[in-house]
Amino acid sequence: MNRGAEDSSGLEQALHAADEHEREPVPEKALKGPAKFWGMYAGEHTAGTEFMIGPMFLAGGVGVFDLFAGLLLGNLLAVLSWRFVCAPVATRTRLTLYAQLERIAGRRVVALYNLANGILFCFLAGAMITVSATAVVPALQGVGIPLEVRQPTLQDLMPTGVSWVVIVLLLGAVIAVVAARGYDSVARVANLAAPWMILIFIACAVVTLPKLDARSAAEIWKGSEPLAGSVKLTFWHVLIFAWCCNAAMHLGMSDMSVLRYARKASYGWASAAGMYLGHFLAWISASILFALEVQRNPESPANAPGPMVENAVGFAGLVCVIVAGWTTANPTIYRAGLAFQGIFPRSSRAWMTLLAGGVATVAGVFPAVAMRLLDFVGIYGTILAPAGAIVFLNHWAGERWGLMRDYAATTGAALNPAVLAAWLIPVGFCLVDFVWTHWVWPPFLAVPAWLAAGLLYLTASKRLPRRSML
Amino acid sequence: MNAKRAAVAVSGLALGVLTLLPPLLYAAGRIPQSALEFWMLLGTVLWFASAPWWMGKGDA
Repeated sequence: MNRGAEDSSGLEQALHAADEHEREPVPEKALKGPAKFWGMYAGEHTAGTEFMIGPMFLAGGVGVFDLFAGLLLGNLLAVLSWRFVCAPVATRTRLTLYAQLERIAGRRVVALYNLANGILFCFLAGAMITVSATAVVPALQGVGIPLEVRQPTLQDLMPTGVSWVVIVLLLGAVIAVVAARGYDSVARVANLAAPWMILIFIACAVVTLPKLDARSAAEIWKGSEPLAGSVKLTFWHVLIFAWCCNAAMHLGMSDMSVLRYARKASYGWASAAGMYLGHFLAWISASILFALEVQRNPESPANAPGPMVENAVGFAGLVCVIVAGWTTANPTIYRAGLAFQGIFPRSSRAWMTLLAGGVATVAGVFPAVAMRLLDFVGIYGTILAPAGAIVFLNHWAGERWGLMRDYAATTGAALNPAVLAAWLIPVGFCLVDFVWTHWVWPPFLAVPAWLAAGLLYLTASKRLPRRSML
Repeated sequence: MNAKRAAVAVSGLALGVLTLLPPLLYAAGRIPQSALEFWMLLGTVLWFASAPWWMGKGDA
């Protein structure tokens, strides 16, 4: 996925080092060539969470046409969003989303955005810790440590036992401490692992196919009733999920932090590497792995990547799951720490990262986030993507529609009420659905929330005073 | 320079031969599961031992 927030590339590492560009446009000399972006997107979107997402398509009873057509078109929409929504603004402003949002909305709104972002990052990192823990258990057993741990199934939302809790707490503590010490070494491992990891995903599928009773793809993805606890998935579910699982990054513009280093907006096409390797090949491979688990244990299949991958390719697969989960959880915790530090600027970055790691570890103890990852990713995108609509319209529609571009920077306002209303009203309606009514599957709400935020921003901005009132 | 070339060659062997080929041979029924697991683990070790010597070196 994501890295939602799964970004740990060499480019990101270089960008992280360039603190002097955090609040000002990237200078010409710091721009990067296209190869960096193709490599970064390929690695970033082949992560530990892909092992969880692929099985969920099978668990949702998706049909073969719906899966392949939905993934092809949904990923195309995601690439187009990166190319035509995020990249043009990023390469024209050369600013991070945070810097640009602060210029429009003021520092108080950015603090609120940071809080939401930080909390969501913690839960995402928690899911990644869960993924890694499923592989740590068989790895420890493999080296002779006697462990009795029940791996989580799709129905497990609570910890599966004391042993599971202890394993996750220990693993989470290690990940949090490493994240607090810095970012660079883990980013380096993530870069090295990316090409190998993609091949391990493909190998898993190649090895598993002959073990299946199915004789065709239509016998794997049958379009049947979903497994207990799963939503029935159709073409539209797959298409919208593939498009919106990274909505915070493309429609929500958080990838401005990366693409502002691109020489041209056309580098946005590089996102195709991540979509079609990670969100197509890797998801399908993980889905095939789970098909074997369902065949062997139809009553209560465990969606535990560790044992599934070990059955396919052995210890190399366990290393892959641990590295994939760890290298994506680590930068996500680091970024959550940075988001929290943005709210409390005088706090220590290391302590904020440890705090984020603690929250992520507790979240990882509960398999709920990992087992409901499709829903969580939809919520994540729906909450954060609307900020991108505001940045997009500020850039393209500002003067044409008679709006004041970069309102907060121009007026000196600490808070732009039009932005606050445009962001919180649609997100508030969506939260009612997520928490109480459950009428709409969360990923379906990301694009309507983005559009609603844009319309509200256009309407409300015209009523803003031309001088700061705050 | 020669060490870098050697590392690139080992990396190519690790991915192209030891990670990609065994699954194909296994699927074709030419090698057993134990051999598949051994060769893929060896490929993993060789990849992580050799790639740091050349990957990302010389980048801007």
